[in-house]
Amino acid sequence: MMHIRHTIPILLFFLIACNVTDYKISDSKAEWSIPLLSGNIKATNLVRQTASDAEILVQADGSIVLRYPGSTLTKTKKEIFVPVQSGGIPIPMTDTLTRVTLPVVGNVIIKKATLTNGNYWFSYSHSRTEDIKLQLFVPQMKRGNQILNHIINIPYKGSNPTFGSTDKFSLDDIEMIPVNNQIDLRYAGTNANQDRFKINTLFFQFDQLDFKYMQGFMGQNVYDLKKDSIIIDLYDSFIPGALIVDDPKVIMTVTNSFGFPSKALINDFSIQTKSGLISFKSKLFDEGMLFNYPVLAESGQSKTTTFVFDKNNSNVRDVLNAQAQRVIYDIDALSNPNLVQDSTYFINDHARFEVKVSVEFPLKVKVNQYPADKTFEVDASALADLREGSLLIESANTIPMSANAQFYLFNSTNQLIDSVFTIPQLVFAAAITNDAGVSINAVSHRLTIPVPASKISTWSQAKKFKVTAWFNTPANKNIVQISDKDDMNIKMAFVGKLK
Amino acid sequence: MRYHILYIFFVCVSPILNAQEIGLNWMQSNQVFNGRNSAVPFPEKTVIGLPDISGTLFNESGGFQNWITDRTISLENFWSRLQRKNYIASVAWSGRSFFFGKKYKKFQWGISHSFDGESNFKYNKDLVGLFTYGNYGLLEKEPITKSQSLSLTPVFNTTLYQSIGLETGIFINEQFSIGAGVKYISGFFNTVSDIKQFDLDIRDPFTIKATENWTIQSANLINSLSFDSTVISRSQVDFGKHPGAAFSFGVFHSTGNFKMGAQLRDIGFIKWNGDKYSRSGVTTYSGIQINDLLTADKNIFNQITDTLKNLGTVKKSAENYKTSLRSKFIADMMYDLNNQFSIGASVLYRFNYFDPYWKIASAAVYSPSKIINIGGQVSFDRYENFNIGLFGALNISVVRWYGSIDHIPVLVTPDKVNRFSGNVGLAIMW
Repeated sequence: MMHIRHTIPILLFFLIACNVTDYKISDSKAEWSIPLLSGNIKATNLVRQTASDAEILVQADGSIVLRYPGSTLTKTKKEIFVPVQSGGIPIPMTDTLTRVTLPVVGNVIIKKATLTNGNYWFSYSHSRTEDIKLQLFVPQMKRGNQILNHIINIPYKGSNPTFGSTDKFSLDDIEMIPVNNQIDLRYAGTNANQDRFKINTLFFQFDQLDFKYMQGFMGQNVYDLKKDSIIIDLYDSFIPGALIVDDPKVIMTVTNSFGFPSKALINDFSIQTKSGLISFKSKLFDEGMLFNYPVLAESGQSKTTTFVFDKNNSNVRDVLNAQAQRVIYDIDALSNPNLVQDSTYFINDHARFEVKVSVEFPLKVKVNQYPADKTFEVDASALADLREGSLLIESANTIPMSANAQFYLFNSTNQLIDSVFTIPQLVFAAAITNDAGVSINAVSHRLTIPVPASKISTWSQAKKFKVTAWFNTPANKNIVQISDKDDMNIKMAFVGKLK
Repeated sequence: MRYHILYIFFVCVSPILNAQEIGLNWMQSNQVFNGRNSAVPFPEKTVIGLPDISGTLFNESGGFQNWITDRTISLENFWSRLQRKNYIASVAWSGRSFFFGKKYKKFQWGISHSFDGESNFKYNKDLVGLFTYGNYGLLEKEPITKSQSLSLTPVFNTTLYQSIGLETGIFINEQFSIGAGVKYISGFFNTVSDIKQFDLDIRDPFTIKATENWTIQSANLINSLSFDSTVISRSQVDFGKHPGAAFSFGVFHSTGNFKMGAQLRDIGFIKWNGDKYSRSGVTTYSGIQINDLLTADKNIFNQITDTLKNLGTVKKSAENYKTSLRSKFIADMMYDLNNQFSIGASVLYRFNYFDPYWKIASAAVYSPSKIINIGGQVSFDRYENFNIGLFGALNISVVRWYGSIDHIPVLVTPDKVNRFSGNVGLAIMW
């Protein structure tokens, strides 16, 4: 009889047209899932956001190193050995032999040099009433295998005195072998009868004295490299103690192509932290940081010396983990630190010091309540179309860090109108790690956030949505390693009933 | 809201719907109704047909009582009784606004104006289930959804047009007559879908995957079609913008107490100037990408909407296309037992949109006086359903009121009654 009971009213409906007041429509039982968000977050991307100023280096084993590179400080031969300008002052050759001391600075005794970038010439004056010949030569200077030698014919022009100057001669490629930084300027004046005589006035002139290769003794000189600093942003978002990097390093690399020994002079090496300036200390400073250099047979080569300051030879772990913001350093180079007297060193035209300091953070870390937040603009009025339901957040995480989160909703006047949880809830769980703290297995987690009907009205007024998350490495691990393969798949959907 | 629409659609509309079937054919010698065999002589010399409305409501999936439990109309009940196959639901109606006819000694003619419309929808259990329980709820209700995509493939079409018709009947002799009619059609709107594939994978609540290959042709109905918004627009249509033509033919034979007739109606077409909407391919939506979210500089809800818009782009192009009318064939015969009782038989064959429909029927007519005719009909149709129908007419002076209901879901196989049809009309003749 059920069908009779049901069909008669239907028939009546059809006959009396739309008298439907006795019947009602059942409430919809439809539950819809609406995907909202999905994606893959790579550990490297998280790191990139945390330390945007750093370079991310992936090691062969997949581990990640953050590197903050400093500027390359250089000192070239041209800066250290500036060409000597004559200043237009001629050197008088008062006799047929004039010994001249070279205008060399910086505790250098030149044993051999190849000159460049300059000219020399002679000027003269005499009162003889005949044609003369002037032979000028410098025994300590050679062009090729020939001693520097010029023969100049000076004709008599019928009036006294006779004066003039020679053409300019290039100093390029002239090899100079001075003795105790001195060279001899010689001349001989003769007439047609081969009679020798002295010239009234004779000058040797040059515009600048420069060399492209020099060999000899180098004394102690301090070569000033600029003061510099490296900004560290890794700790910017952390509260003190929230991030401990196990073995950060400061690395100084010196590339040297000067052919003499030198060592670093540390004028200043300190770390600017959130709480003040801390001195960087290392036993390497005390031991002396000698730079490698090419020996005579290696002229033209560069030698590299790397100094690594780590937790074993310095206080770098403590000072950087004390919320480092900037590493400040002022380094000079001291030549021939042991002052070897009978040494023969060299400098060529392309010689230079290059000093590069970098700070590296291998991401073997411990993270404790690292806070991160993100605020989204929303027009949550769309929520008014919902009746009730839940937000599902599902994650599969191979990053050895978990996160608890809280969600805050703000209205158009930036007033907090609600938070989703009473206390922050676990959003994703840390990956399983081995004894070394390396992630070995993903951990899945699903969080269900109720969207009760009673909250819809309030939440639909939200204009801003703020997510605050606190990241933690597992409590039972002192250190975990963040690797480039670590990532997290995350999906979010609304599941529930619509109006 | 969705329930209310369905409710109004199926309940409020159906009482005025009437069968384009055969209920009135038992009275075609006495009444002039819409769709009458043009070869049958008018009962009087002059006929003025007033409004006449007929229609059919059909739901293949079973009796409408399946929807109702404890006076509550429930889609859950409806879904629970569906099998895993395709079902058809249709609404067709025809409305005559006027008719004028004259009968002479050797022939008759008539002119008419009418509106015709129909909507057809093919669906399956998964489509109803999705609508009823949502994509998440259906996972719990229908185990198969956890292991495979849903092949929804809904097919639908709808059309509405008006026509001006001219018909004539020629009386060959006193026993035999033939008739023919022609209609000029002006379409109002039309939509036709061709859904080759519409699979929805709902297994993962965090991902919806659709595999689509479909086109929809539409004229003057869909203004725009996209994932987030479908604009239905039925603007004023110029007469003749969507032209068409239809033809009908009929024969009638009468020998004393025996009458026999046949007609072939609505052979025709309509040309539509419309648009084609199409989509093809696989679309996967898992929400906005988290990296896009982290760098979002605008409302995240807008970002989700934009993502959906980009994913759900529907290609649109202008399209001229042609649709055929749903022609039908009716043959009937009637034998007058005496002055008060007649019996008859009839067969209907209709070329419906999805599947041809046929019905055979027998009827008895009782005319206790000249002013009243009533009768009953028993029919059996393509869906193997027995149906009971009633019809009747009041003939008061020159006024003729007539009506019929072809399917009364009470007396015969009530669980299977899935079709309602009826007719009501008025005419004046003298």
